[in-house]
Amino acid sequence: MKPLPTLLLVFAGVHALIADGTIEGKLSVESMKPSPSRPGYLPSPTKQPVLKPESAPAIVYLERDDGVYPRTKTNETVRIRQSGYQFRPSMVAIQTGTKVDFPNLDEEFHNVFSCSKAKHFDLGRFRKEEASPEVLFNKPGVVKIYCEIHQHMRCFVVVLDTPWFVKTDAEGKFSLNNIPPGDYSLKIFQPSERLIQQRVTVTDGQTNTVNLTR
Amino acid sequence: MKPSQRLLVLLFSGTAALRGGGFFDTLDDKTRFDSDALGLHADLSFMTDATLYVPELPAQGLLTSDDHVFFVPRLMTFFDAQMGDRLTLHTQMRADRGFDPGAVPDGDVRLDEYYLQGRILRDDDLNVRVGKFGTAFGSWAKRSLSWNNPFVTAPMAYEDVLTVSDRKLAPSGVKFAQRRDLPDNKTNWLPILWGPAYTTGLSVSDRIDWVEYAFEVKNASISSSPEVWDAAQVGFPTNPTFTGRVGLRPAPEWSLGTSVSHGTYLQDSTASLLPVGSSVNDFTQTTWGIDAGYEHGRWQIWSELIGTRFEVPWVGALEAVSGFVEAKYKITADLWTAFRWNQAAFGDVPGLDISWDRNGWRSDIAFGWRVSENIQTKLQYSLGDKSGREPEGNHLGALQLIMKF
Repeated sequence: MKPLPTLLLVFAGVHALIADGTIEGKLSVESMKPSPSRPGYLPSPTKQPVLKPESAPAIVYLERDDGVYPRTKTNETVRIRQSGYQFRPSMVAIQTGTKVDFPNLDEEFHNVFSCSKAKHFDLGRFRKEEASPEVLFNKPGVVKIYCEIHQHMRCFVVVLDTPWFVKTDAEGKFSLNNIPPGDYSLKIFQPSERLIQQRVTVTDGQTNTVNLTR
Repeated sequence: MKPSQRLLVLLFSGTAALRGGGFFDTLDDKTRFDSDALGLHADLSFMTDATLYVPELPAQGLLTSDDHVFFVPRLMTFFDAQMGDRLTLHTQMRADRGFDPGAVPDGDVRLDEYYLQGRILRDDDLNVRVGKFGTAFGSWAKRSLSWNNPFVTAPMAYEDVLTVSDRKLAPSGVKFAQRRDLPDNKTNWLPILWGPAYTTGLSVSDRIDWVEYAFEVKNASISSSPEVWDAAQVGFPTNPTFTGRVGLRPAPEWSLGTSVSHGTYLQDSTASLLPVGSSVNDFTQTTWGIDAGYEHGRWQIWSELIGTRFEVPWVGALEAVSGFVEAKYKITADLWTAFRWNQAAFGDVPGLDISWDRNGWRSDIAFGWRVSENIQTKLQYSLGDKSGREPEGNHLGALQLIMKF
């Protein structure tokens, strides 16, 4: 893959609250690698200028040992637009069983596809204002998505069984709310595809703090 | 099994291990250079083909081997650099067994493309390109790389060798007409348009709303052979070839275009063999073409109709028409099929009631499998015939594995 922004986890303060606990933390950005594509730098010209890709955040999520999760996030349809010859957002986390649509907002064709193990699909050529096909993601895993026509375009869909996930904000902050007490693996998926993980215990009435390093 | 065939089997069996793409991603990361301070962004990328041809001999098109099974590996190295906002550099180097399969059986390394391109105006698509690059004629050159071509071979108009030559002259029309009964002489004869015609010169291209155009002045005709494409090696002639295409994109689905090319095609070595008072500049190839493309959903369709006229010493004007219709359909997310119908017809030799080459047709069918975003493989079968002509094989099978990274 092309270089992507990476995050160095400098500090993660994890506070677990009772019953409907909240886990919070902060990831500090160490450095930003060059974006996968420089605007205007393309092997074939496009009708409109290529805009900058979005900075990809990290995905923070909790997994339970028994692998049993409530299916609380599968009713929504997540939207990944193609705009300015980029996928927006460029990284998404969803729960297995979620549908994603891919509206094309550019004046030219896009052809969204993936060959990832977790999901194979090819939407063919479709244009602006055409009804976007919906894709059901029913297997957990990381799905790398591309455009067959504009090869610089790429996007991650992180498909998770757990409903307890969140994207960090631009400053690297995250907050996971309404987490039942128990033992979890706290995992962080970074744009570089590196995975950081740490065992955490959410205990009634206590705050647990963990430090995670790469 | 020959070592080359064993290698191909090994390559195919090894693709499964590379499906994850992590290896290619890592490699891609390491072959890129970006510096905002210098305003320089450079990328080194690669494409490898491994192709097995199984022709009925003599083989169709520009396949020059006389083996029943012929293996052609190819490594393409691309270097792209953007310098500032407006200047780009592109090079394509190939290591293989000749530009056309088997042309250099023992191996060859060439710089097939190199050009510098500048965007003249900051907010406009007006580009000027200088160097060695594919022709603006027609629509096939843009998808001629193996990754973009649904087939292993080119359309007939781009690779079917005709009896006209840029270096071997027939002394009369009668003698020339006898060539049509001989096997194709792939060393000396020419097609209407030779592959993507990476000739050397200068081009101007632009896109204004839904109209696009490209005009170029190059050192050799579109039918010329690869050995005369590089002006750095063979020089620039006094009479260059002028080629242009005007295209329309009324909607994303449609692409329409018309092309014209005119220029001399004879090599200087024929000068002493020409009629008294004439020079190589008096003998030209003039070609016109129309192309139309449609794509939507799972379909991509392309077609071209090309007419050409060669002014041939001692013979006169020879005319030919060749065309093709090509369709690609994605069966599933990973599998696709493609079909192409090619047909060619030839005018008479001046003064004789006989066509100067055999009318012919060829149908190509291909199946492809996109193994991953970096790997795909294609299987092609071609059946062709030239009316009443025995010397050329009617069948060709080809299997190709492509990796890009």
